Amino acid sequence: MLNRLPLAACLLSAGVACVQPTRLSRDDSGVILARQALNAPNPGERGRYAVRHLYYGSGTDIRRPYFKDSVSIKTATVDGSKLASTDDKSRKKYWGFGFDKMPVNGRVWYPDGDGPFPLVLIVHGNHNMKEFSDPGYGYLGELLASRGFIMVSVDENFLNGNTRNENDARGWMLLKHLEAWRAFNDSSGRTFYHKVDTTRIALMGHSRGGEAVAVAGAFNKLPYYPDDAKLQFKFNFGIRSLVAIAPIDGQYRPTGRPTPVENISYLVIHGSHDGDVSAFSGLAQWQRIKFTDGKPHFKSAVWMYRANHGQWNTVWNNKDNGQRSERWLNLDQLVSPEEQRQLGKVVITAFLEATLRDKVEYLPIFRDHRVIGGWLPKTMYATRFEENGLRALARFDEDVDVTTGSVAGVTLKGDSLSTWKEANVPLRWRNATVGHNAVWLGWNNRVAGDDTTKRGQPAAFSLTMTDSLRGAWSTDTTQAIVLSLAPTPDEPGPRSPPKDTTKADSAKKAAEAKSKKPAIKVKPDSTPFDLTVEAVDASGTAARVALSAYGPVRRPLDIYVMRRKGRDKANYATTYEIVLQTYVLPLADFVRAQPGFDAGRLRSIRLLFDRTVAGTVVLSDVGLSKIDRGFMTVSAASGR
Amino acid sequence: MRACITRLVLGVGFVVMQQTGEAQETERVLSVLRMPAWPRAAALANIGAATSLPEAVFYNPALAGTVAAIAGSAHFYGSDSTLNTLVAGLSTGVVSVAAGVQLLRADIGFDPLVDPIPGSGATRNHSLTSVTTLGGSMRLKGMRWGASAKYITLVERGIDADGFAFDLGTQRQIGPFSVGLAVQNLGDGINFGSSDELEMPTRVTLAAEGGGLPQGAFIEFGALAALSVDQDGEVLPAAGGQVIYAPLDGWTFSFRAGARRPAPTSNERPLTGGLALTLDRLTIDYAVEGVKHGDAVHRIGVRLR
Repeated sequence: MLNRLPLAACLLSAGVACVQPTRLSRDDSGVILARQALNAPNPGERGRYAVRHLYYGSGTDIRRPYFKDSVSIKTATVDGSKLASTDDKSRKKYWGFGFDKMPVNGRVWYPDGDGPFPLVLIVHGNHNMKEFSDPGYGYLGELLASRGFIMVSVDENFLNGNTRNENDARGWMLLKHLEAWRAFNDSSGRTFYHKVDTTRIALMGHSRGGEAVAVAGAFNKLPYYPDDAKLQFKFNFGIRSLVAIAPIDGQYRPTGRPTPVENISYLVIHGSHDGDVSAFSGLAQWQRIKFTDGKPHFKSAVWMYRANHGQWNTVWNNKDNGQRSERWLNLDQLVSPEEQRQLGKVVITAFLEATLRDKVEYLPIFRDHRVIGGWLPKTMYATRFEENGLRALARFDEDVDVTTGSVAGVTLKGDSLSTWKEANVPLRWRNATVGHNAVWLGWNNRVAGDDTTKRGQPAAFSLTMTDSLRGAWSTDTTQAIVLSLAPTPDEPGPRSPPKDTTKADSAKKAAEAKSKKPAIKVKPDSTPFDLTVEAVDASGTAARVALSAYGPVRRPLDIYVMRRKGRDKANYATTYEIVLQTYVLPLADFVRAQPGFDAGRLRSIRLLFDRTVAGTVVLSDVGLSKIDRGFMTVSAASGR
Repeated sequence: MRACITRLVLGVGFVVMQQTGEAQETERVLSVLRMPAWPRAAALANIGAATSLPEAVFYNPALAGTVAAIAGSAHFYGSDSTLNTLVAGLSTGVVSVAAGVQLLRADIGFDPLVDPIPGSGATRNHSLTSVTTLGGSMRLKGMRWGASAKYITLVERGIDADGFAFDLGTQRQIGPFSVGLAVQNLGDGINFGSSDELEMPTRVTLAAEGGGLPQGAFIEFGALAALSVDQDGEVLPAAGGQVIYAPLDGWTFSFRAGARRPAPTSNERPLTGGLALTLDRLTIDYAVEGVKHGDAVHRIGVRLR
């Protein structure tokens, strides 16, 4: 027995060596979320209404008694066979129906009151079809109903399991539910007669359901099914907002293109440690949301560090890779289910209050999440934000000329940069992108040579407007500079010393001398990352602010999802995700910083890389915004 | 169509069995074709007709090459007789193929399945039997179909003999179960010398295997069963089970046990057991079989996916 101990010890040691230790980036939430600047009722807390519940549906379900015997309102089945198909006959045997007779089943949480109330539909994503997913959003149903929303968790379990390319069906089903709700609201004597505000509707979805809400948003305004015009659409519901929770993107592509959505407010939330949809793919849809009708829409993206895929649903929880998730995934590093759902409750409710009820008090949350440090679970977040008032100076995907902006009259210029290139923003998945471009700007202000303290002039990147564009846009102190940026781990080497023209080849000799020295292994830079944003007016007066005053500026956060050491590097392109943080910098702040600065004659915006010696950032969606004052009522820095 | 083919396979098997059953003039059979072909099967009561591994080419050609891997094993019958096996499988998507070699080195006249296992100091006059098997399979109408050919050579006391045998098989996934049906060792016997004839141990086997039944995140159960009918009409049921402990993605420890009804003349005992350790693409299998007379029989194998 004793002679087997070494073998056992070897196996144990090998096993321990193969396990990825918990590896998380240093948490800065103690600083970033130190203050609660927004003075309003916490949207994550229950409201004043008592909550009632009911089920509606076919009343013939053979698997779930609540959709059979407990149904209060009966609905007709719908034929979705043009949108979903399967070869698996066992599905029909299990459910008792095929895709030609899909039931319109929903579980409803509604306020005990007269209404009319806004209507919110939520739909789950793909999961084991026999482990029913629709009960998992009860925590949102209770909360939203108590605050005066009718919330329905839509049953699409019969589309779950081994189905493929069915997300059009998932989205279409949501619209069929809205048809049912139109009938509930119009039928006298029914529970919901005239209790539904059909002009204020939101659709929410999780995972594949997260993509389905965008599909529904697109289908809602179409006359025909894009892939088979024999199927006519007559929807045109008053959908004001969409919420996508850890969504996928691109499973369904109408006519082979990414789903386009216009003039609907959009919120996407995603966890960094998602073990299923393991890249922030919802950012692609986020980028594609366009506001063209001049109405007050906005879109927001919230990325929560240490959140996973399943904990947004109380049925799914931490089983992102199925029942054996603990074998594959390092679950120890996740935030608790309660914390993760608390984030969901706060931002989703605030978004719905803002978009369905026009409540402005929660708008600042989406501009700068630091204003609700007291409501957010203590972890790290990256947030994107854009509202309909943004006029883009540079989105970096109009052409292949790196010196031109998104509108005529904008010139881009780099100074002392080591890296200046435009490319598609990558996702963590291999060969996947968000389908939107950005510019990579790298710099190293240190001058090569023996003197490691020697610095050159700070590198800079500027966007300059012509006089005519400035005149057309008529900037003023009510407006703000908006930009989205994320540091990357890349750090260019020191810049070459300036050439001494009086001594032949002195620079070359210095460089040669340097190259003969052994390479020094550089430790990852852990100093705080920051840069200066400079606004320059037509007379040359410059005003400067630090970017970090307007949001967290972080190096990429470590993401090691897998339990087995090495699996993350093998499975993903990177062990971090580039999630740009949006910063909104009011021009009034530049005037405060430099009273001589004339915001009405803004000529150029300059990023001055003077606060971090070396680094690389990804920059996109730079513009000027006539931002709704509701977004600006409170600031994380001042609390005003 | 499918039922027709299934009936045909069964029919062919039993017709051949009847023929061979009638010709029982010699007592020797090519027992190498009955021996456990690899340690996993040895640990699980010699069941392999429903298992998707390259070694399945020795049990059911319908599963030949469904997993790309190479495997080798050694089976020790006492101190002096060994059965070594080498097999490799490859799948091209449509067609899968596997090739294997079994090499039995045993004392002359010693049948490892029937005779008491000799201890040390046994005679040193050996016979050498080799079986080269080439099998292929493909998927058609929801089922896998396969066939294999075996070339057998026997060298004993300086005399060579050779012959061919053929296997036919089919397999289907029914819910969580892999169900396989195989007819093995069809063919004439091998004439050896002037009067001796070695019979082909024809056998029809229906087997089923189910795996991956989870118990928590780290434990899985698997079970398998088979019913075989030998050329002499013996019905031989067998069943086995395994518990797999998978503490980490890519690492598994398997604990296996099997029970069977041995042939009446066999030296085998009903119970078998074994262990396996898988580290990513490498699997090390071990099996032990009890025997009525002599020391236990051990088998060890290595598989690289």
